[in-house]
Amino acid sequence: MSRDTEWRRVRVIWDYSIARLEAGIAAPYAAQPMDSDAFAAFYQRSARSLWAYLARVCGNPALADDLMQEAYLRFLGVPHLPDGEVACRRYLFRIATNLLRDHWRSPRTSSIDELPETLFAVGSGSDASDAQLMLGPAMAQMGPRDRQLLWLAYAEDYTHNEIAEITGLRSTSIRLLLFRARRKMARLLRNKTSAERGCA
Amino acid sequence: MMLGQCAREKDVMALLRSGGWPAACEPELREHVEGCSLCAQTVLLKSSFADALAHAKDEARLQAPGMLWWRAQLRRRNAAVQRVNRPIAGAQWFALLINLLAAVALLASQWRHLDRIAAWFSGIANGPVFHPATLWAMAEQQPGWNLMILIPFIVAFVVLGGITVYLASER
Repeated sequence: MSRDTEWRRVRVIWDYSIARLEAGIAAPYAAQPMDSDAFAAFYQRSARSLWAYLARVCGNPALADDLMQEAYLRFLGVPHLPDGEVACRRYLFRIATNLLRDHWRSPRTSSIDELPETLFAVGSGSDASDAQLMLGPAMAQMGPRDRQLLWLAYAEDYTHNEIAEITGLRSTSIRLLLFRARRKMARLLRNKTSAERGCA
Repeated sequence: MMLGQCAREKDVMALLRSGGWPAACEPELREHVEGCSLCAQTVLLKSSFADALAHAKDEARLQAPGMLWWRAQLRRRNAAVQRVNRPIAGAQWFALLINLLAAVALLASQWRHLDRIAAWFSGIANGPVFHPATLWAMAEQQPGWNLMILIPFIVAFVVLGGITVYLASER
């Protein structure tokens, strides 16, 4: 390709990009991967699960709101989304997990370990289920990574490979970490149950 | 058997996921769960987390997806504008660098004649043309000179004002 032809091609791309930007349309290299209706449907199907994950792992509903919004904004900013809703959903959880990690690493925010236990405990109102009343305090005694692993495995039913993809850990590590986490969680839940029975 | 896994765990999990536990569970599997600590753990955790998930889903406060979509579009557009502006900013810095280098090169080449240039400048500054009083007196004598002084001032004011407004709006 001659220099003149190359220059003309660059000029055409440049003029086209400027014209589209002035018209308020995104540049062609940033094509929207999902249209508005498809996103609305995907949001309705995935948002509640994502919020539940964020709220139960970080223990702060307001923070979960912010992180969920940021997760969807980043999700929509990805130029090439994976094919299929299951893969998109997994990708969304991965973004949310990274946001949680960034939040905990940020020096301005308090560490998850410093959060008061009351954040994880649900209200004692009549709408709180028995399992929820047991799970909240038990979750508060787990580390943040254990909370993530347990939620992904037992609330979202993800396999070890999928959890590895979401958290960025190795699949072989997930097996061991999850084994320890679930043993500790089961012990905490049993202790809570036996303590409640003792009180009754 | 692998670490932390029981051969019947998959059956138990399948029942729990389908909502068949404990009603649709075979007595043999239930007996196994009562005797197997791993499967008992699985039942305890899965049922606790499933209840917690259902409860948390009810608590979720969702935004309008259209609002998120609009904000994402805005963010993408800003990112695209930044990407387009990046080479322009680079070219501006490059031009500034070239100008500075040219100025330095000119000064270096004229260094030997600097005293003569300074003398020339001081001669102009001390001359009668650049004294406002002299200019005003000349303008009073010749009516056309009023405009000759006024028009450049107005033009300079308009040009500089326009540049200032443009730069302020850019920021």
